[in-house]
Parts: sequence; C-alpha cells; structure tokens
Amino acid sequence: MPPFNSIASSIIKEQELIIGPMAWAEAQKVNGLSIVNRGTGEVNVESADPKGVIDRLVAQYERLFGRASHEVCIEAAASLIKGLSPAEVPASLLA
Amino acid sequence: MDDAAKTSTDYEAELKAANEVVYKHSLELARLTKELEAANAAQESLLHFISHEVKGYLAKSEAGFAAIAEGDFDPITPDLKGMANMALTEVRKGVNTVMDILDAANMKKGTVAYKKETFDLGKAVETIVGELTPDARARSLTLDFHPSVDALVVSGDQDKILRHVIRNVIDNSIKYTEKGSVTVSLSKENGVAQMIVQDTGIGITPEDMSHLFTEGGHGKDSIKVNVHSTGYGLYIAKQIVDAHGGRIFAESEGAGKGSRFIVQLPAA
Repeated sequence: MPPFNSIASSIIKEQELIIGPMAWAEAQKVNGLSIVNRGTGEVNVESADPKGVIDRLVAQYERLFGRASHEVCIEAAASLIKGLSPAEVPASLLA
Repeated sequence: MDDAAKTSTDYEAELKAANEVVYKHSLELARLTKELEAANAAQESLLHFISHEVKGYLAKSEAGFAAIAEGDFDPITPDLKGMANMALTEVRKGVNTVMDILDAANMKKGTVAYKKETFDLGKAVETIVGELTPDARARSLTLDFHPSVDALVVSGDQDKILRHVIRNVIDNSIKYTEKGSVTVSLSKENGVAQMIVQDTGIGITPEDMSHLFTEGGHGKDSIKVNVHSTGYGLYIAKQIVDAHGGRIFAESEGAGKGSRFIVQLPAA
C-alpha cells in the first residue's frame, strides 16, 4: 500500500512553508482527508479512494493558487512516490 | 474592460490571477529561506570546526610558552622569560576569543548547560574589580567599587556569570574609556541583585544601542577603540543573563558621554 498519509502530509507541510496556516485550512476542506495532529503533521487519508483524496488535495491548492502550487505538490511527494508503479501513483502527481 | 461591466466571474478570475502572483512570490521567498537556512547551517558547522581546530593549536602553544616561562626545561634569561610571558598572555587572549565564538555558536544552537549553584555575587565582583584594577591603572583610569549594603547571594552558573557577564561588562568599560573613571556599584532591591557599571568612556549612539547585545553587534566606532573585539561578548552576556531570568541593558546619553551598564539577577 503506497504511503498516502505521508504523501498528503508532505504536500500540506510544503504548502504551509509557502502560504502558512492556510495550507491546513484548505486541506481540511478536502473530502476523505482528516487532520489527526497538525503539530506533528499527522493526517489520515480514507482508504476507500486514497488516490482520489490526494488528487482532490492537489486540486484544492491549484484551484486557488494555480499551476505553481501543483508543481510544489509534485515536488513534495517526489521522494515518496519514487519506486511506486504508475498505477499506484495519484494522477495529479504524475509529472 | 469597464469596471461596471465586470461580472462576478471576471472578478473571480482577477482574484485568482492575483492569488497566483502572490503564491509565486511566496514560493520564491520560501525557496530562498531554505537556501539561506542551509547556507547558515553549513557556515555554523564550518565555524565550529575551525574554532575547535584553532583552539587546539592555541592550547598547545599556551602549554609550550607556559613551560618556557616557568623554566621547566632550563633556567632562562629574564629577557626570554619576559618574551615567553608576553606570548603566553597573547595566546590566552586568542583562546578566550575562540572560546567566545564557540560559546556564542553553542548558545545559538541551545546546547549550553547551566550549573545551578549559590554564590556570593558581592564578593565575586569585588575580586574581579581587584583583578582588573591593574588594567585600569595602566590606562590611567580610576576604577571605583561601591559594595552593596545587603548581602548579594545569587543562584546560577557562577563561572559563566562571572566570566562572561561581570568581568566582560567591567572590562568593556575599561577598554572603551580613554580617560576618567569606571565605577562599579552593587545593590539589592526588591529581591533583585543589581550591578551598575558607569564609565566616562566613548558612550553609545542610539544607532549602536539598537544592536549592542546582538550577535557580532559591534558599535560603529568601537572597533577603532578595541581592535580585538569579536562582537560576541555582550551577546553572550545577554544570553546568560536571560537564561538566569535576569536583565542586562545599557544607557548612554550618546557619543562621548559615557555609558551605564546595568545587570540585574534574581537574588537567591
């Protein structure tokens, strides 16, 4: 099982470096994603459609901040999706 | 397009475009911050390494000069002894400078441990004033000491407080006073032990005052008066006083008008 929780957490934390607390506020609006502990960056991605949740998270940022924010998401997840087969990777993170 | 003709969709598009611009700027800033942090960390690590290396060489030189001065090998001529003692003094200054830089780096990293011991601040300050009196005399200055009426017992890291705070502040006043006097006064008020060091020295401009206790915070002209200043002394003093729940600050009416340094520590 790909580390979807870590991927989501990494994306949010990277966005936080750029837009601050708004990164968490936007993540909270994503269906299927729940924030367990903002301090430690722990999040939970629903297991029914984890790839869809990540795609929605990426889209949430892109809707507000454009293509640049999408690139940031891809970079943030790069080390975590390395080694996964294309079928396992959420479509939004395929460069 | 005329503002009146704009639809909410137009406004939304404008807002999104503005958001994207702000995001791109923030992204650039975040990347620069990361680069800066990495460069800082590398520089800090290099500084630590160099300081350790230099300290090692200086310590060996110190031991060598001390052995020569004390006649450990053979009796030596008075001239050679004088030279060895002079070299020893200079090497010790070098060791202290390197130690200051190392201490400042450790304090910045938060890796300094403080001892907790109760000691007589009044007696300790008197001893330090006594030790620094020859330096003041050598500069034709008067160094006065007014002890506290009450006992001044404080609790904390005696060595760090005395070396980096008390000695440093008095020594600074001597170094930055070309003529006149330095007066050290102790008192106790509302459970606070206080030392005031008043001098008739070069004074502090409002501009210098703002970065007096910051890392590397040289006064604009201070380097002309004290060429060996590292700019770390008062920064270290403030870190130590802060860590003990005290306060250190300075007052001056400006350049050429003398300075007052006030150190306050909670009395035990």
